[in-house]
Amino acid sequence: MKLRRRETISLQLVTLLGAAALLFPFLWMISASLQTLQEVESFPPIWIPEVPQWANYVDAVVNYNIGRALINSAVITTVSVVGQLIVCSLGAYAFSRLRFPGRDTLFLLFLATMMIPHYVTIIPLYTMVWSAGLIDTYTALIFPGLFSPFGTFLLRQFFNQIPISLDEATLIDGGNHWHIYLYVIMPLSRGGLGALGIFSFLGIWNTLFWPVLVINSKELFTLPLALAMAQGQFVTLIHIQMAGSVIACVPVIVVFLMLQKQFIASIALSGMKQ
Amino acid sequence: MATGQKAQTVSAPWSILRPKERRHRDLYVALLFLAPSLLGLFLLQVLPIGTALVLGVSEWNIIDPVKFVGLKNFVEVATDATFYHTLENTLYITVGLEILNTLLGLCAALLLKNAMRGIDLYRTIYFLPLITTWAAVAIAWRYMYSLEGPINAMLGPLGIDPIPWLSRPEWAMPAVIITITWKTLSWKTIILLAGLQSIPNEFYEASSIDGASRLQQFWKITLPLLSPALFFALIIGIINTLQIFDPIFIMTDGGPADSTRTLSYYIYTRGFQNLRMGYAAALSWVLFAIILLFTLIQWILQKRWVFYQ
Repeated sequence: MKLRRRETISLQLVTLLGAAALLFPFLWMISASLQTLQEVESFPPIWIPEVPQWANYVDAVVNYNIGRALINSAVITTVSVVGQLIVCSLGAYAFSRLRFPGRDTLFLLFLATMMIPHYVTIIPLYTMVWSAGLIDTYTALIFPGLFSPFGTFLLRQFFNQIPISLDEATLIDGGNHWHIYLYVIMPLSRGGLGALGIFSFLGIWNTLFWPVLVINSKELFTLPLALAMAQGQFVTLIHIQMAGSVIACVPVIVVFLMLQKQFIASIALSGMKQ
Repeated sequence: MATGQKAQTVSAPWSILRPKERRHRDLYVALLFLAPSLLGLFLLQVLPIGTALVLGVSEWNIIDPVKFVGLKNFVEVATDATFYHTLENTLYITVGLEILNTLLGLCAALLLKNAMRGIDLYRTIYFLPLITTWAAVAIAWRYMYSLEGPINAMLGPLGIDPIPWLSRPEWAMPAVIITITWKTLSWKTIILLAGLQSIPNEFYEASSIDGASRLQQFWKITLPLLSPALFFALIIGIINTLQIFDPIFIMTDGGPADSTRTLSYYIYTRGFQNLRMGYAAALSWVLFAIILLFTLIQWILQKRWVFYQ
């Protein structure tokens, strides 16, 4: 479609307005995080702080548990994402490259579990964790992230696009399936691994429900949990909470900027996860 | 899915090299490769689903032993006034979100489709709300909604009196819907943008030679050809909305006066605030049934409006 000049300008204007509306909560978050308590509570609201209070960030990190929560979130997310990539890629390799009795039935079972809502499994999962005495441990936070039927499905789709002749070549050269997995499939699936990587990163970094259930002590709070719990405790300290919120969003935005293409491509491909 | 079909026809080449040993050799290798996944599937899916079935017909408060009670939980659901109230709320939030998200998501997709200056930056900005942490942004929205907060401050010059967004039952749900729309509309945009980009340009060129107006093109070309993407986004969107938790936990905790307590949040309340695990499990199966029903209805209705090329 060719657009006339006037149309182009009005389109650009509308797009700009939309972007401004979508950005507004972030801008307000940043502005509030740099205000004094007095400024942030004043009416009418102050849009731009007189003197940016960078000390709010130090305060949040040091005195309001955000630093500890940041480390917890970083550790838990890294271990879970790496683990999930390994577990899912191994499983996806079996479904994509190996022939064994019951393969398709098993794969169907993987897909079927994706239809079951989170709420059905989370109550029993909680009771399992409780019975195993794992409440309030890193293990409880990490192990549900190590496997994902969706991840297995997504990687299998990517693996299936790699020509089978490369496998043959490896076998003829005396390699085995482990070699094919490690030296052929994995290096050629960077796009797929990146896609699953950003999905699971966002999912685990942002998750609130599961930590709410299994974590009680402050030392183990993840960032979303620390932010949510600060609601009740420091309800008046808006500026500190907003500093914490900015800290929680920055890593997500950085990772998103690095892997934006894979993220969008795989939503369009699979449509899963919100 | 095209790649999925391809996989069915892919056969391992080594089967040609070693025809007789093939099945067994692969089976053992497959077991090794699948071992972690099978363990995960068992611990995180099969066992919990089985347990949920048992819990649904039991009474359990975590401390005392599990007690089998048959269908009592489900009978209680059927006569639970709060359940029906949360069901109404669920319908409200689902319909509200689907309408807003689809309309605005479609508008955003139509805007972002154009190759204008700075489009990459615009796309990034439009997708930012979707990826950021719910807990962080929901807290920001909570303060933005306060009586003396920035939203009311901006409405003031338009002649609108301060709105008690989160403190009055009639305003809380609209406020929550607006926030979730802001957060999730670009998910629709991504799906619809992919749909728009797959419509061949020749259709527009040919129709404009025939004298079709922009509006006619939209109704006769864009919308029909986009209907599969709209349908897909509708189904997944509803499934996601039915399971919403974070914004309600942060912004309203189901209140005021239960006005934002959706069915999913009611499951959380019953299970983890009142420690009625059996009842919560029964409710979660009802949620599952509702999701299935919604999906099934849409699947049947799609024949009337979804146009596959």
